[in-house]
Amino acid sequence: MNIEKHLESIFDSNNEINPDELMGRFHRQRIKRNRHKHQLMNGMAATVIILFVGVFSVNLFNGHNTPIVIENYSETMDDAYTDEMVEEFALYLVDESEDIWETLEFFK
Amino acid sequence: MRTDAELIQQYQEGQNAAFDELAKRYLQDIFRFFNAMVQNEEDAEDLTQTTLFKLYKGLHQFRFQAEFKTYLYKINTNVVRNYLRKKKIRSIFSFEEPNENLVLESNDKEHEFDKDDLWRNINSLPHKQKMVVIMRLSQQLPFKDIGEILGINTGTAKVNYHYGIKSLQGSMKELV
Repeated sequence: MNIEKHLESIFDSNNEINPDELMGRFHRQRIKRNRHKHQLMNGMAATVIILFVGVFSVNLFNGHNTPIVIENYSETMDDAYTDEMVEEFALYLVDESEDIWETLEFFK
Repeated sequence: MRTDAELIQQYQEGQNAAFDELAKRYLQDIFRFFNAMVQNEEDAEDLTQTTLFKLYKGLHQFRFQAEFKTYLYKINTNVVRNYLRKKKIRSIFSFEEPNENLVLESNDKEHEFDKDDLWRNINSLPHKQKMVVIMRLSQQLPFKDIGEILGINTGTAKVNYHYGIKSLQGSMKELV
């Protein structure tokens, strides 16, 4: 037998496969791969949305910082109280005084 | 019986059953080609699956400019080239000898000795010669198609085949 015939017979004697079984396995793997692909796509989309919202939020708060002012409320209240007293006292003096010029002189 | 082109057209129109019919028509040939190339049934089955995935995805873009068989064997040669490249890289990193002399288990005891030697000698051929010899003798492809699949002209395919066979004859004579 020449070598070409010999090779042909060797190639022909290679074990055969079951096409139905192989096709069934192929479709199962294909469905599995598709599912994985969709999961990956959904995961990536969710990551992009989270990143976008995060970056947007950081930018939003960075531009509008509310300044924290510490005020001395006791001092403010005291001044207001004093002003009120002075005003009431002045009105009283103006009402009660007989000489308005003398009262004004008192406040100078 | 529907032609390959009809089945492809039906698959492109959304009939998945047409793909199965077409694939089953060539499945045995694909498997035999890979089995001859890698000489490992498990790997040959995996490579057949890889080809099916590529076909399933790629056939939607098939434009009927070439024969389906040529298109299919172009996929097969790319798949096997990638497999051999990866295998070579893996063997470098694992410090293992590339398993070039892997021999198929044979039930045919009569030709076992010759078969093993022949496989060893086929594996020692340059890649292109090995491809041409296997495509020609295992798949009975014409040289014109082999040339088209491998991106060489028909004459070069014939020359590669001739040198491959001559080399195999020489190495078998040495053994006798």
